[in-house]
Amino acid sequence: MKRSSLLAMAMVLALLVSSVAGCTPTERIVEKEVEKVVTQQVEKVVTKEVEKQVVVTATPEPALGAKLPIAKMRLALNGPVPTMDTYLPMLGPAGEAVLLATGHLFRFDKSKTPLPDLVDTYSISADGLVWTMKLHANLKYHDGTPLKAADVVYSFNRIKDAAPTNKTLIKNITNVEAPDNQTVVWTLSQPERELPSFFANYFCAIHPQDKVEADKDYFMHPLSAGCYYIKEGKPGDPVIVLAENPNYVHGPMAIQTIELVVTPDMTSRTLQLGQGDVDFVYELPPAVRGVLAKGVSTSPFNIGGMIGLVFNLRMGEDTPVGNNKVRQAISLALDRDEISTKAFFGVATAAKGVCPDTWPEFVPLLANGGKQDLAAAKALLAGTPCENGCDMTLQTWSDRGGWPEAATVVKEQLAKININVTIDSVTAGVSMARMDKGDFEFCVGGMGLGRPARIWLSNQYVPGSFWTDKAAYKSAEMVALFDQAARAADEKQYLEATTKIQELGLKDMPLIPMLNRNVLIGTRLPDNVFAMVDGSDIFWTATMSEAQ
Amino acid sequence: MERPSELPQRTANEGTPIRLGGWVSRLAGNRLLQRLGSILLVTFGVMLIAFTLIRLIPGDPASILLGEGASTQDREAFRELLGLKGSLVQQLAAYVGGILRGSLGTSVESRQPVTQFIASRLPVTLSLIGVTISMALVLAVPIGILAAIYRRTWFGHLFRITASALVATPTFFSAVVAILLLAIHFNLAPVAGYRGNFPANLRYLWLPALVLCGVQVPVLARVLQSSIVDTLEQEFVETAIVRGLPRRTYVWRYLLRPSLAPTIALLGYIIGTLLGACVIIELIFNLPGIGTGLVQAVTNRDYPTVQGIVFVFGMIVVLVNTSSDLVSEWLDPRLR
Repeated sequence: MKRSSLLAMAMVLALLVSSVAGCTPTERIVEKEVEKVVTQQVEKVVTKEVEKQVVVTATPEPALGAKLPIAKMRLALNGPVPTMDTYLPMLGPAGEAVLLATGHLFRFDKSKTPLPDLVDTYSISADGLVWTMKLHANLKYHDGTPLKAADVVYSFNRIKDAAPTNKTLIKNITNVEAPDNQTVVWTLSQPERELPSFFANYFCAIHPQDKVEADKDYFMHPLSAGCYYIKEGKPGDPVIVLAENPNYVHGPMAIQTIELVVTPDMTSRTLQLGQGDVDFVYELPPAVRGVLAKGVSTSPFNIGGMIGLVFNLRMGEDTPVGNNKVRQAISLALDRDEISTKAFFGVATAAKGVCPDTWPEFVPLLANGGKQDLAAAKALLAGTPCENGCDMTLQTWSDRGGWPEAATVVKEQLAKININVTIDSVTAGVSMARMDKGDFEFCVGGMGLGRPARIWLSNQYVPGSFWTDKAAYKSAEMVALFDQAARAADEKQYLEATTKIQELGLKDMPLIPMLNRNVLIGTRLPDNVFAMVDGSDIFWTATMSEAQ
Repeated sequence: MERPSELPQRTANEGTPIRLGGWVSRLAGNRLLQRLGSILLVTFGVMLIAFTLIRLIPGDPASILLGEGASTQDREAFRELLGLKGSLVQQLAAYVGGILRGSLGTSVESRQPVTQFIASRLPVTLSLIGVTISMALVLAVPIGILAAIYRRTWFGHLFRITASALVATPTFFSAVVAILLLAIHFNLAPVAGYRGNFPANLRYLWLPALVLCGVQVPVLARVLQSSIVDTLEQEFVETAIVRGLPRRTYVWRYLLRPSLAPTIALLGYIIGTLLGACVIIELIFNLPGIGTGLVQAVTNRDYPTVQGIVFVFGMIVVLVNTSSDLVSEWLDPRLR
């Protein structure tokens, strides 16, 4: 009997030892170069740090980025990369992977200005209707295949009508041709000053026609003329390794290898960053701001948009949500700073206008500067369906961090003007389905997409676009203003038009801006090497010359 | 090899191939047909439930996947492309037709065949289940034997209390505690970032498997314990003791083997429940298995992928249960 019990004990011990041995620290894939970049003191227990309340500034440690190039960085993505084919719909992470690992005509700099990338020079005709783009000489994909102007024409024609392509900037393109191997000529029916922004976005990645058509699995291992190419892994994999493209026209890059690590769970991303398993995280829980390990810099970042309240105008003027005065009163009753603090730990900051306050188009147009004014709100309710109090249902997306909490704070604040709010917390998919059917009263919404502001605003105020259709907002005057902005001859005219759009938007108020849509990012890298493009969820990686 | 006369007597032709002739073959044929029929019926039922349920959830794949950038017109065009315009009956007929041709459809999200998606995800889940079952058996069998033999000692009492506590602890809770303690505090396992094939992937699998074992080991050990206790009361065991058989022969042939059948049958059930438990565990440990794939597909209303995964889940459960029945019958002829 003793022998059998000893045998059992030995088996248990052997199992535990073998399990633990399978994960010895020596197996941890920690690149030496990155180790040099990050500080030596990687705190492993996040909770301990929270207790200590170590406030980490946004300024990286002095040693960071001391030696370039960096051999490898690990980037945590908040979702999978199911495809690299922009003909298919792609949520944020896939678009980000496409921008890193395929070639584009233009590339955003950190301030979201589109700079020529595969394009060397370009000219616009006097009437603004013909754009002539000259590609760099001897462009090649990462495998050495020459890149020709015909590839640009093919790639554009392939995606121009695809459902996921945002067509606002290209709807006026009537023709594209490649008169020679280096030149692409675009003909437009109306001038479009923001055209380079379209080509810097992920939609129009450049691929060779013959290879795409010959290989049905081409997009599992696409060719790249951009900064990086897929070296290991494929779309759908949990880890995809991008290597520097030796043929990239602006190379070499400041980071030689980027590992895309798919970690959909926000808490796990936080722990990975704290443990030193990844070097950059795009979205962290607001609560961990400034309390992660030493060497990790956390800072709020505007991803290009607003969090606001969207109203269903189908309900009609005689209903609480359909009544313009009630919406104006709700806007005045909101204490945006309180929502920011209680629901987002101050990461998403109070709105003062329609646009995020870091954009050039921003004008502080919100009544009372966006501050709460309960007396004015109550005065506005006189003669409305809410004069003696009313009931409303506020729908919120349960799967977005901070949104249900924001809805709760809004409920408390509106109770002060006798509006009784019932919160209906559902997933994004359910919420969108209900909104498509017009089956909602008002909801917490996130107006994304980022700059250019004209495109972002059109998504809220021009029929046929996402939020406009959800709110069922229609205004001929507004459409005319957008046309005016598109035809603006210079920056001054453009800003005048966008200001009028914002003024009219706040007057009609299909949506109430609440907070600048900021997320918390965490990094172990200096921002001259790897950062976010301002007002977007796009990553920016430096070339050696940019980093230096 | 001597056999106690009290053991259930086997048929004369045991150990040699059964000649399928006459009523024996008819009976065996009928049983085989019955099993096949029930497998097909259950699989079809599972497929039908998956097809119906995912469509009952409000949400439009076109809206979810295209996001804010797409116009109303784009969404309509995309719905058409996905084949979501037809009636439910038409969609079901197309889906069943596809299955009969060996196709589970095309993913709404990636436009890749669902079979390809499942083939890329299933190995992770099966590895997790394999590691869990291996760990569970290695732990449960000795514990079960010891708990049966020493059931009236402090070990038996400790086992009962510990087992009850472990079974009562929700997996998601023990998973979080395990991450906090073993992954973060002691840095013995990574929090996420699964990669690699066997055996490199064991580094990512051992901790989730250990968490799953927290529930499975006590259950298996308890069943084995009570089964062995029953066996101990059989006369043939007393005979073996009186005959003074070697300990190894006694434990394996007279205690363990006759007692294993309920445990093996339970193992089939456990594999089925593990498939479900893996959904939660894969999410918590960020494993790119079929469970996270299922959640992702449900979130994006990727109908063909959800249907395909649930269909494969159903097939696996039915096959495993059938296999465990067959193994149990082989171990204990009384079950035939």
